[in-house]
Parts: sequence; structure tokens; C-alpha cells
Amino acid sequence: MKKFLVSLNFIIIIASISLMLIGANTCGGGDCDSDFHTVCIISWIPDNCCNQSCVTFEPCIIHYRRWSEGSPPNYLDVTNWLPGASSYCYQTYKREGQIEIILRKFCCDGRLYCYYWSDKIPKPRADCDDNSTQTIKAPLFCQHMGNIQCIY
Amino acid sequence: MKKGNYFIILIIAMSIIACNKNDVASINSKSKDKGKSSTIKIADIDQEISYSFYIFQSRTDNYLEANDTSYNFNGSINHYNYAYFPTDAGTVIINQTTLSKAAALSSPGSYYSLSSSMSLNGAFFPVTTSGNQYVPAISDSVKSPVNFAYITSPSNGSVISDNNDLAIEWDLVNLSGMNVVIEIAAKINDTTKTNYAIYYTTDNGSYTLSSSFLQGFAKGMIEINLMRGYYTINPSSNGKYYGIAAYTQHTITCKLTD
Repeated sequence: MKKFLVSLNFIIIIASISLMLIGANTCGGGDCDSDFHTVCIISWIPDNCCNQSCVTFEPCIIHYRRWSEGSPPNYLDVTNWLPGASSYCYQTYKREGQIEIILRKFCCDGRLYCYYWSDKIPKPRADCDDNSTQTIKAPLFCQHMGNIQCIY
Repeated sequence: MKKGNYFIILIIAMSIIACNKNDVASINSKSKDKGKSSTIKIADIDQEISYSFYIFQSRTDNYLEANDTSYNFNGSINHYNYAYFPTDAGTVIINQTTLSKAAALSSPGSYYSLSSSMSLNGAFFPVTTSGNQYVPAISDSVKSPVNFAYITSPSNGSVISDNNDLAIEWDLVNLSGMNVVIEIAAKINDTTKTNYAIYYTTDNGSYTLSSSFLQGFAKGMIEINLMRGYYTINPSSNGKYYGIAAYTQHTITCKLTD
């Protein structure tokens, strides 16, 4: 009986060490090429940027574009996100290095028309084994275009 | 309980911990076959980078056609400092400016500063992080770009025919040694055409796109983006690499036609 217990202990020890070695290489690490990472965008319109009626009147159409190094261009149009009110989040490959963002906003009160955009901002990234959300904060710039009709 | 049993429990516990911990070794892995793993776009490099610092000035000129009218918008130059880490990195300072976190809860590793000044004289921008248990302290610098690199030709809003080669020109700085990146991106995706291209070159003032390339590129509005500057990549004390890029960036919009 004692020999049996010693043998059993030995087997368990070997199995545990094997499990530890395997685990150190494969457990929970994530795959840089396939796992996703969440990126959020927060944007705002600087003060006195544009005629107030352009800023406050809705509806608005916002075009958001993104592309990445891996498979550019990778565009995504977003029509229901209001900069400043909340962030817009999407998932992307963690491995993707840099992403660029262009935001275009068309606001209209029936008389005025404004055009908004941001500069291109490097995409936040994280280690392959990180699952946190990263946020880009970028201002929108605008140009007052005059008294023309809205485009939808 | 016998000593042997304690040992078994210890081994099992260590195995569970090993399975739950993050794969710290993964940072050393390179992209398998899906493109470059670099995060510093100012140069054509293939180095996994864990911590990124960007110091740049950007100007975006837009061109828009609406209601039978064209609009030519010349943007202003904006100055950005960004730093990205997997998690909180303590205090991050770039060029004597302490960066803010983008959002405390959702982005523990995103830092930014938006200001209106940036010297473009080739001096060095110091970069430091205080570090913590997650991110090591970093103290380094990167050379600032010399002058803002404007695209001098074509001009914003130009109509470009694909019958001819297109020379993209900018105001060069002689013997600067700066890296230059040129990107061409279609504003409307055309699945039958090329929609994006990126070229890495030197600061020689001109890069020519062939007519055959233009003929295979998506027509309509295209963006031409030119980045010029310096970068540095070094290992931090924990073996993970950080990259610092300092550059200027000018984007214009043109119309490509058959």
C-alpha cells in the first residue's frame, strides 16, 4: 500500500510539473494576431470653433474613417455618434500598430453648413496580453461653409 | 498531512498560477506573416514595441465638393503629444510637459497633451516616465524634426489625371537625415482598385507615383499624407522596447480622375 501511495505521489508530481510547464507557455497569454483590443474615441469641438447654430442644431451626420497598417484602408462609417457626448468604441487587432482617424461632421440648421474633421492620431495599443480599453482623445476642427443646403 | 502531500499541493498551486498569469513572453514574438508589428510609423521597421511616444505637428487640408460647389479648407497646424502603455505608467513627461490621461478608468495607459508650441530646430525632446510596478521608468530623448514638411505639389484640391506620373514634392531640408513616409488613401473604397499605399523614402524633396500605379488606384477623392521626422527605439529595463517618434505631418485632399 505504501509503495502504491509513493508511486501515486510521484505520478501526481510529474503531472503537476508538466502542467506547470505547459501552462507557462500556453495559458491565458492571448494571440497577438487574432485577439482583439478595444479602442475608444473621445472628441470634442473647440470653443468658438464655429457658428453656434452649426454646433447645436441637429441632425448631424458623422463620418468616421479608420485604417490600419495591416490591411489598409479599413473604413468604418459611424452615423450615430456625437463627439463630446460619449465615446465611440470599436474592437481591433491588438497587434495593429498605428491607426489614423478622420472625423467628419455635417451639421445643419437649415441655413448653415459646417464641416468638421480631426487630424490623424496614432492608435493606442497594448501588449498582446493586455485587455484594457485604450482611448484616443482628439479635437475636431471645423470650417463654416455658408448658406447652403444640407447633404444627407 | 504528510510533507509529500504539502509538496503536491504546492506544485498544483504553482501550475494554476502559471496558467492564469499573462503571457509575458509574448512581447518578444514577431508578427507571423501578417505585416509589420511596429507601432512607430515614421519608418519602415519591424520591431515589437510595447510603449509608444509620439510628438508631432499635424495639418490637414481638406477639399470638398457639395451642391455643385467646391470648398478648399486649409487647416491650421496643431501640436500633439501622445504616449501609450498597456496600463498606468505613472507620470509621463514629454519635452517638459506633463501629459494627462485620456480617461482614468477606461484607458489607464493612454496619455496626451495638446498644446500649440513645438520647436522644429533639430534639438532633442526629452521623454521620461516615472514608472511603477507595471511599466519601468524611462528616460530618453528624440531629435526634433527640422521645419514643418509641407506638400508643395500637388496643391490641395488639385485634379490629378492618371494619364501622367504624379510627382509629390515637399520642401526638403538638405542633409537632414529625416525619414519620410508618404501615404495615399482613397476616400471612397473601391474593391476593384488599390485603395491605399505607403512609401518610405528619404528627405530628398520628391517622390513620383507612376501613371500605371495611378491607373490601378481608386478614383475620386484621395488623401496624400506626408510625415517627416526622426525616431528612436530602445529596450527598457524590463526588456520590452519603447519607441519615440517626432515628426510633422501634412495631409491634403485631391481628386484623381481617369
